Amino acid sequence: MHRQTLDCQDIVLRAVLRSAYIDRENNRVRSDAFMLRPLPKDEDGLSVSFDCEPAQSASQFKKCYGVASLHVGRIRDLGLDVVPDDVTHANVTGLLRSDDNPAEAEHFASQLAKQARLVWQP
Amino acid sequence: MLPLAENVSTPPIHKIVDRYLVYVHVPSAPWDFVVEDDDDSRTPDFDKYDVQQPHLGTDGFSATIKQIFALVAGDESDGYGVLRPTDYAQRKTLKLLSRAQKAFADDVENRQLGLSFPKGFVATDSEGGIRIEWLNGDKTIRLVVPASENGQSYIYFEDDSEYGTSDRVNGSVLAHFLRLVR
Repeated sequence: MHRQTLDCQDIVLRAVLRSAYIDRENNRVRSDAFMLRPLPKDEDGLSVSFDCEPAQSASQFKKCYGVASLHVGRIRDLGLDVVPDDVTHANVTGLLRSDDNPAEAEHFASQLAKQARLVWQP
Repeated sequence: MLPLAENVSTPPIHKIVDRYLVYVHVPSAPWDFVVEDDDDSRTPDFDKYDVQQPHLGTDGFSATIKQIFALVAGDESDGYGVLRPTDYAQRKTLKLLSRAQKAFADDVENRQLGLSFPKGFVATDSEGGIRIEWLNGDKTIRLVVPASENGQSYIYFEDDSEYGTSDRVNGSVLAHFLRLVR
């Protein structure tokens, strides 16, 4: 049985699966990591994990270049939401695809990137 | 046909030069890198393009181009999707950057201020489209070129008070936006 909702003070983790999505000069995650992929990928939203350690989040992938943390409350401040669908997995919902609305898709990605803190790297 | 430039130094660039049979002409400017073809609908075939590439150095333009070459020389895909830029994305992006660099360099005000083409950070999307981001403080410019001609190229701009996209994408427009991040 997984949680039905997350609290605003909860933290979610976004795994960064491409080296180029990390700005190593400034130790931050690029906005590219927060763009939805074309359907059917990311159909339910942007994949994040919660209630787990960053290394655990990274270990779910064959290759992970970093893990970023974000506060659920700050994500909701953008008009988005975070919806759990498993014990440690959730989706950031409300994001738009660049095919549908590039300005909003890019802006949301920028805002999420600004909020994100790189908390784990291999 | 003139010989390839001698100072094309890094392995990925050699690889690209070999792969696409890049012919180098006597450069008219230090950073000419010109793809002479306006027709984006043609089947990608770099053998048909006339590319001027005297050498790649350490300035912002060449640093940006090098990242594209590195992605082209890298793995085709990863767990996230297509990693290598598609031929369409490569061709279109190189053309846009080339023309933007020329427009940037030709601009009188840029010359007077001593502004040089800024370094962008290159990545691919999950389909093999190319995304390039330029940052300066709270200002962001992104050039997004899709994996195929079915997608839409655009330039995204953002500062602390506004954001938006331009779907009018050519070298002059890109050069105009890039002045914002110098």
